[in-house]
Amino acid sequence: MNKDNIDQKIEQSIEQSAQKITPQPFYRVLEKIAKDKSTETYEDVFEKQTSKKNNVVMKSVVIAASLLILLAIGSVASVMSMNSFYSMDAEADSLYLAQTEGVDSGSSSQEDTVSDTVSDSDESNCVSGENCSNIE
Amino acid sequence: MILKNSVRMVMKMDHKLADGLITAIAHGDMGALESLYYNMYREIYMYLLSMVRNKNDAEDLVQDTFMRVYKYAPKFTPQGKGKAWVYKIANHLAITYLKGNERSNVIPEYFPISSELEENTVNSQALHVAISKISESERQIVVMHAVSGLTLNEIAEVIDLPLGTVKWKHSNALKKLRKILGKNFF
Repeated sequence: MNKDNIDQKIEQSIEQSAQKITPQPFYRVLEKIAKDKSTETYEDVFEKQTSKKNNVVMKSVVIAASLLILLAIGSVASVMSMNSFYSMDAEADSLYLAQTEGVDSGSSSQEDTVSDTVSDSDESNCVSGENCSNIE
Repeated sequence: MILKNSVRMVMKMDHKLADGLITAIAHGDMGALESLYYNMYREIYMYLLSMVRNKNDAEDLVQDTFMRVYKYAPKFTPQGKGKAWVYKIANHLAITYLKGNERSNVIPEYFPISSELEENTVNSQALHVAISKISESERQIVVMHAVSGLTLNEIAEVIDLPLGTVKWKHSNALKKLRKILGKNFF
């Protein structure tokens, strides 16, 4: 006897064994109908079963979207941190430049003071009519 | 198709007949409900017993199943899947029951056991022991396939599992039963 025949015989045996079961009387169903206070709806019975698959799909979509959002936030954060790093560098450079310029501008201002002093004294000499050739 | 004055008959229940009876029930035909009840009782009972493993609770759930058949018959659309529709109601009730109750560890008597050897069938005692030894989901599928006449595709829709899984479990269940029952019983 091959495998398929054996399987058929097994299922046939199950079916024939089931035929020996004695049903409960029908009036019990009528009693249940009369007492029915179930608040369960048609959708409760049928929609819940089919929505299980939809729930799995929805959950997958939500998880994927959350991961994408986290990735986006992470990318933005890394870009901002890079920018702030470069701007700190730029600030340091400009601060350095400002310091070096300050040294140079300090020496030139002294020269201006000296030249102003010279021109003031020239003017005072010029009032008296002498040494006016330097004054315009 | 509306059946007039349906009587309680023992007939082979197929989808088309189930569709007709459920349509008649939707119009208030209690005779159609009685006919459907007696023709599907055994298979629904065995299916529920394979899940809840308690005889009294399985019997109670069978009554609940047909009470809901009566309640929701007006919403049923005849599409040649009447039997599967009844099984879906039974499956939902079993799942709800199992959420609120612990599954019994006692092996129930799935069908009346006779020690007599019957022609062309496996001894029911040996079959009962063998069925008890396979896993719950395999038992659920092999029993439903044997007693209901539903295809594996329809069974997959009823119990909300992929068809591939149902086919594998069905095949595996039969393989185990062949092994447990052994060559002596064939």
